[in-house]
Amino acid sequence: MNANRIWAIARKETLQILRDHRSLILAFLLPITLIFLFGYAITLDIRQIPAVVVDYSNSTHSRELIRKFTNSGYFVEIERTADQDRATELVDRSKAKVAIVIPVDFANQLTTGTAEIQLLTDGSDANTTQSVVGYASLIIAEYNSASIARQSGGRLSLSPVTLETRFWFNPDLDSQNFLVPGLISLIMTILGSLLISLTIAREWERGTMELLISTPIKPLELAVGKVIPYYIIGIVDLFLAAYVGIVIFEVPFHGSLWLLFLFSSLFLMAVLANGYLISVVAKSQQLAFQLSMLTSFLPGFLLSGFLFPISSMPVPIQIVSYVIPGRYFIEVLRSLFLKGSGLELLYLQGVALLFFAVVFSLLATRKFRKTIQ
Amino acid sequence: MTAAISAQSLHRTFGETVALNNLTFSVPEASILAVVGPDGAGKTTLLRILAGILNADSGTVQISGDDYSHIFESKKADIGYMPQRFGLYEDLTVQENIDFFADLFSVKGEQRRTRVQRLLQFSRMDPFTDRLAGKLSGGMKQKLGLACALIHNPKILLLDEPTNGVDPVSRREFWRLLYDLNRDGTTIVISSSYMDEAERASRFLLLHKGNIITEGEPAQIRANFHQAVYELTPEDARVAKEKLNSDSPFLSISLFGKSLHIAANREMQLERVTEAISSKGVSVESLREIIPSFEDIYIGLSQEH
Repeated sequence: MNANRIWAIARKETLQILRDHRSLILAFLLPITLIFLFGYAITLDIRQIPAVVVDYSNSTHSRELIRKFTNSGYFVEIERTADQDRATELVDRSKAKVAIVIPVDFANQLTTGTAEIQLLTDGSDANTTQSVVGYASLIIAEYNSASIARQSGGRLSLSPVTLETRFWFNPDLDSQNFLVPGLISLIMTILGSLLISLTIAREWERGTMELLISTPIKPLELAVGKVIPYYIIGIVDLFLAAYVGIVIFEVPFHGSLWLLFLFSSLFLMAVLANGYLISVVAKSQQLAFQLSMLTSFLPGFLLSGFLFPISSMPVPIQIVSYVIPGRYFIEVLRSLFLKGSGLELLYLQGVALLFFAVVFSLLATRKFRKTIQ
Repeated sequence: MTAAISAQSLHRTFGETVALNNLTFSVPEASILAVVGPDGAGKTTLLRILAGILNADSGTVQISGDDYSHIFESKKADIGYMPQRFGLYEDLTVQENIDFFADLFSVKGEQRRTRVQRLLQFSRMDPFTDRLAGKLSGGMKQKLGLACALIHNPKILLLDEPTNGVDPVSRREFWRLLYDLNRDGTTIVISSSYMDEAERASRFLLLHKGNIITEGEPAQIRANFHQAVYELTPEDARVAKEKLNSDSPFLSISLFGKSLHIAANREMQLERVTEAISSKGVSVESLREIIPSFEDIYIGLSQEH
């Protein structure tokens, strides 16, 4: 290893990144855009569901039930109609996500025994429908116990046992607290795989590699020199993303910054080595781009637990997720931000990330040939 | 005299095509060898193997007497290579490109300063140090390429068609630079598809479809050439060529602008040549024997091969 040659490559690569607007945008603008997009626009919490109300009963009881729905904050009444076809049409046209239909004898039934109401929801939007049903059941249960208590003069309760739920680490179940730490992993995956996967392929395409391999540079020196500037960009982005998350989106950070730096470095090495490996194998920028999308970005997005919990995936997919470095890093990030876990709880993930970093680096430098094929 | 480069039965194929067919030759120290041949003759393949960036299927290369394949990487510091395609970074400036190669070859301190200064002056690039390499003209790019190939003071310089597509003035200047280097003892191997460039070199090697058809000093090769070449400038050279080509007693007839160059055996006297031409109904008024050019020699030898 010769420090001069590593320095020569790192300096050259840095100059090229600074002069290439595409790389600069990808390196600094994309992470900021992603954070604001996920922080503001994309939220997994479903509130203010538009509802159309068909109240045939039109009684004190029915009006009270409707008020319970609208006061909950989960539903917004967009229209009240006496025509069920009109309600169905609103749901069909997705103007309303749910139609609440209260039958004409609702008040009667309520005093004699069991009353029924109907909820029509749009099953094509499964996520929302699930929330609608969940929220509606809660509201109705609450309505039931309130009315029983009232009718019995406060002596009877329908629910002798009540469940008091406490959500640890994210008491309000705020989706930003869940998304922002995972987003750091996604940003680094995009950077590491996309930016660096083009570097070697570009040198082959532009003909500069032919001259480069005629010099005494060693494959490992070339790899280290090429990776250094992207590693620095990755660390800058890490702190940028963490800062925006903590300051603007008020995501708590309970862990140690040193651990954050350490684990991010390990993860970056793994993704950079993976990107470098792609670049060595691909030899054309287009192929390198496609390969890096397929092998790092997509799994990093879908199978790492960033949005979809790994525990609810089918078992074969769960097994696949073990070879995705993002999986371990996202666990670490969430633990650091929300739980403040220390190294004693995270060392296994650390070992996994180190393993990927070493294996990918070895493969990449082994695969690189200093000859034209 | 020791050989700077000596190649023993170099062989290389690409699929079915034989790019180099058992080449054996040597380049004496401090000489300029021109490797000349048309496109597809194997010039680039040969230079890449000498530069250590392409493996030969079989055969050996020795650099200053040491077997190249065993101490491959350490020998690379003795060689300056300039690929056919511009190999520098177009998004870096002239100075940044030179600095990059100086760093790669660990040229440092005082030595580095004086050498960069000398190269910039010698290539007359000093007013353009802040210009991006991609914005240079063809001739200037080649001079920058040469400057970068020379930053580590290599003993051997390998240049793959450096004057291709370069205007005649820049080309002459480029050769002046090569002579300066050669005078200081640098061995130069330069490939070209221009035959006239062979005459500028101290030795040359004619390649034809991966075979060496002749090799040596230009004067010697010319002396050994045993064909007589006649020039004929008829009214319509194409028509005359057609007529002469049918059942021709000559070795070759080729078009040179408005003239024809007719090669024949030395034994065939001028009278018989004249007779053969006029018998085809072509006027012999302008016929004269000429000193064969290297193009004539190439045509003659490649046909014999």
